[in-house]
Amino acid sequence: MSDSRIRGLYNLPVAERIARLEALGWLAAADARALTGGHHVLSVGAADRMIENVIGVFGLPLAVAPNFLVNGRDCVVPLVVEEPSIVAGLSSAAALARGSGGFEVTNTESLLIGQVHVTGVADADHAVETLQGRKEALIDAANAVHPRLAARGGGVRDVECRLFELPDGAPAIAVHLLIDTCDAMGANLVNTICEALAPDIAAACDGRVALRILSNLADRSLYTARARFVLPDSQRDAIILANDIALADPYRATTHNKGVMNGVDAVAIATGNDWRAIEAGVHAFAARSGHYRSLTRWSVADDGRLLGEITLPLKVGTVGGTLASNPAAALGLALTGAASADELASIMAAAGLAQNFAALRALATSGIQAGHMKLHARSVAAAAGASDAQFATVVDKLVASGDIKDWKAREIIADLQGTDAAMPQGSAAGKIILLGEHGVVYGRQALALPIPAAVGVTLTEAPSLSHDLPGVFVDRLLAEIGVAQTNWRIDIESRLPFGKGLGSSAAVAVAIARAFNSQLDLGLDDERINAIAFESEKLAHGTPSGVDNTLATYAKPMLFCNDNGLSFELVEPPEAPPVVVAWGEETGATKEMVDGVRGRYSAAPAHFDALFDEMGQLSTDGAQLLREGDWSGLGMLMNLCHGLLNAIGVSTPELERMITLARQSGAAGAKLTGAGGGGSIVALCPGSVADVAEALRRSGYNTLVPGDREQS
Amino acid sequence: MTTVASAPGKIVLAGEYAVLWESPAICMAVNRRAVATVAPSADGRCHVSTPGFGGHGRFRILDAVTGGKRPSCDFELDTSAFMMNDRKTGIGSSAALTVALLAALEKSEDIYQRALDAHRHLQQGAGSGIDIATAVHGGLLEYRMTTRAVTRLEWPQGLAFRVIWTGVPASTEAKLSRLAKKASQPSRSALLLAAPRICEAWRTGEAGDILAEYVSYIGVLRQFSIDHDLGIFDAGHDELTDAAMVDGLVYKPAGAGGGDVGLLFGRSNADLDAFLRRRANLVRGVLDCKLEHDGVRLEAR
Repeated sequence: MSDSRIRGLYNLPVAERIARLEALGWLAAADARALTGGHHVLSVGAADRMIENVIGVFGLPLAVAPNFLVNGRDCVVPLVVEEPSIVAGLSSAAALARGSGGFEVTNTESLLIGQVHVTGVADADHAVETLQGRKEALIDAANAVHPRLAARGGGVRDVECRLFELPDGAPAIAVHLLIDTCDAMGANLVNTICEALAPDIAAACDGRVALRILSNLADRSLYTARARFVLPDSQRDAIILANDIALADPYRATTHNKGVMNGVDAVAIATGNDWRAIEAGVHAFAARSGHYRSLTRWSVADDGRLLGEITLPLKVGTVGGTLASNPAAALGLALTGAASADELASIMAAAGLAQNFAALRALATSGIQAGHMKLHARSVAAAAGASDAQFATVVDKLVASGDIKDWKAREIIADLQGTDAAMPQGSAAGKIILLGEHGVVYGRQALALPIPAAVGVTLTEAPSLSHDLPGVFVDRLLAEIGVAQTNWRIDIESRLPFGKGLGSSAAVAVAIARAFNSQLDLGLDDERINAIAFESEKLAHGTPSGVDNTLATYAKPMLFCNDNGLSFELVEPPEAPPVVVAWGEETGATKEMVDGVRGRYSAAPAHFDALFDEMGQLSTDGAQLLREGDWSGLGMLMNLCHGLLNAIGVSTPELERMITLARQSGAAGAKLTGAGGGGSIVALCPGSVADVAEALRRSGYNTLVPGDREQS
Repeated sequence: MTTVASAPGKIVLAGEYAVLWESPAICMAVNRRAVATVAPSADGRCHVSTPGFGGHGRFRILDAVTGGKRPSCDFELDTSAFMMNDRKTGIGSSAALTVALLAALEKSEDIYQRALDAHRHLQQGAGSGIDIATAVHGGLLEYRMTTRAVTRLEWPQGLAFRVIWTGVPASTEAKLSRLAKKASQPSRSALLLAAPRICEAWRTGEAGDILAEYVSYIGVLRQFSIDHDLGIFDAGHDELTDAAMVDGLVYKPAGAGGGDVGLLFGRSNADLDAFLRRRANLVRGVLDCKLEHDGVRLEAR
């Protein structure tokens, strides 16, 4: 089975989605055919054999949420649900959790409770004692009722008694048979055992059998799922607050837990499990303290991440029941790849936690209404004449003021113009790899250009540390810088998109370090600031090359070589190169691309080395052309380099489209920049900067001209 | 007794040039067939007719197949299906005719090895043999020159194509001889890394992956062409390639390129037809071709 991370599934038509899942090995060929032909749906005849008075079958959407990693196993989660946003929420929560190792689900036992209620007992205490004495005999008798269950490794594990009084004060005994039903949900077999043992139990108690049936409060089959998420501290803390409210207020807890069950039920239905039983058990469990509470707990983990935990009573089956009679349920179960009821219950618990995360995050970040408010604020800010540079700040301040009016927008703009005079305390450059990406990972040269003053950071004193960055990142960075005080608000203005291969994270780190350096007079030199940013890059990228932080710090064109340690050489061009950068929707995938190339490298090292040698040579030659300001020669080398990057398989149709548009509009050269797999392109456009940027913008892409202060 | 045999033409979809250096290649047979009819000669001499075509090169094929000893038969060698506006389209008529003729002479469809030998003789050792493999086996194939082995593939679901005619005849032989004189190591390495990936995408049969791999493959092929001065994207292929890229489709020259035909790929016929209307100024003609499942066939008479 392949990795469950599937990009862009939502963009495909239904038939292609099915084909994709089949190609990736998540759907068997027969199941894919059944879905394509609509043969997976329960027939009316089969339905008529399931229940009474059938007049038809009833449809609901069947979808999948990719990206799940549960106990280290990749899985695609089938969902039957009619409510929008649930599938999208689960998919994105699962993708985010993956980054921190996915979902870890544990359980200690999985037993279904069969109850025999005995009334008319004269001496309840004596009855319980007698039952204790006959426990082994009762267990043997029960296992004799279902020898095949015992043969499969299941059977009655223990007998417990609960005493309570009826409204008239008469004592009653509930005898619990704790039964391991293996991979079956097991309702019928538990009921059979209860019925068979009831006379012996009544005799032992010297009472009458009142009821004998399973309990759906499956608290002897508890599954606990945990996951960690990296979020900005403000979002993380808002989720924890929302959960604290649901722990205290049953009205909120009900809605909170309904969200959990949006995930759990959708999986239960898709896999043919009895979701009414699960619902009843879960809500009873939520009220076990006598107070109905949130099923989840959210907290800050030791490492600053958001830690979520949920415990659910889940007694589910992967054999028998409707699985045998409903082909869609069998198909859904096959999709999960769950080899046992334990694995299926683990997936359900993970889905419950993921759905809760998605719902709380939506509430915490924008609220249901806030999204609309923000849209409104954007149009008001634009009408009031907010400049591109001010735009995001004006919108945020408008939303925060709660007064989304034209006069308010003008007031904010006037205020900002006052503060605009104050320069940011720290700034840093973005980076453009002009030649040699990927080759640089293998010890060859790469040529890079800065995007000057791409990020600015302003510090203001505040009651506590506040910013919109992942807390782990800022904490590590402040520790590296040596800042102990946390009474700062960190405001960032950036013209770099995040995740598009333009060195945004390194630039932010350098700009923050510089801001503190100037604010607190720390006396850090560029070399030290570069080292600080390199350390924080390790958190963002694992094993960074060091190119990003060096460019961010020194903001000069450079020829790099990373052969046992990074070395670089400054390259001084006669004028700023006429460069246009563009990016679209796709986010670059540096780690995946670098790992992918490494995987293919070993299959054909000689060919890869030939390409990397050529890339290194192109970079060295390019540095000379850059010094001479030979833009058409440099453009040709960029095209050559892009051809080599094509060969190692790191481009995408979107990147190729942008590159073709740039070349058609007069660029001397155009290529992807950075690791590829999405992200950005760079075009060298002597005499055609405006034309190229315009053509790309007209086709819906974002552009940045490093020489301009304004980004479009 | 008269024997009739036919064999299909071919279009190389991926792995062109790279196939010469042990890379796999993908080829499809198309429903334009060469037909060879062999009948006993009434006067004991050898007669050859070539309807709809001047017959250039057909005698060489006959000689290659018969080893130069022309039997006393009446031959009708019909490759008119391979012509458009009286010009060659470059979709493998000579290989198809070689195969059809050999089958008609031997009254057998089991002629793969002998057809390869005859064709190699005809091309004086150049060429990969992929056109013979396709004419014999039909269908969509993956081919390896080292073993001459073919693997039959299913046409990918949701992948539509059109065959575009450039109106310019091209010569594969000329390109191969130029290639033999010069070899640029980086661009050859680039091709040998990219070609197996596009073949792998065809093997997997995922339309989206095939289209995505083509954009990289085309970039590599262009550079390969420039470095070896092959002109693969000449004759209007270049403009069509760019136009398709901008419109979210894939266009590439077929086989050795530099004329003959090219392929336009997309997700649906409607997308392709819309492109052809929009870019009518770039398109000289569309060759009505379908995937041909049958390879060489002895026809009932």
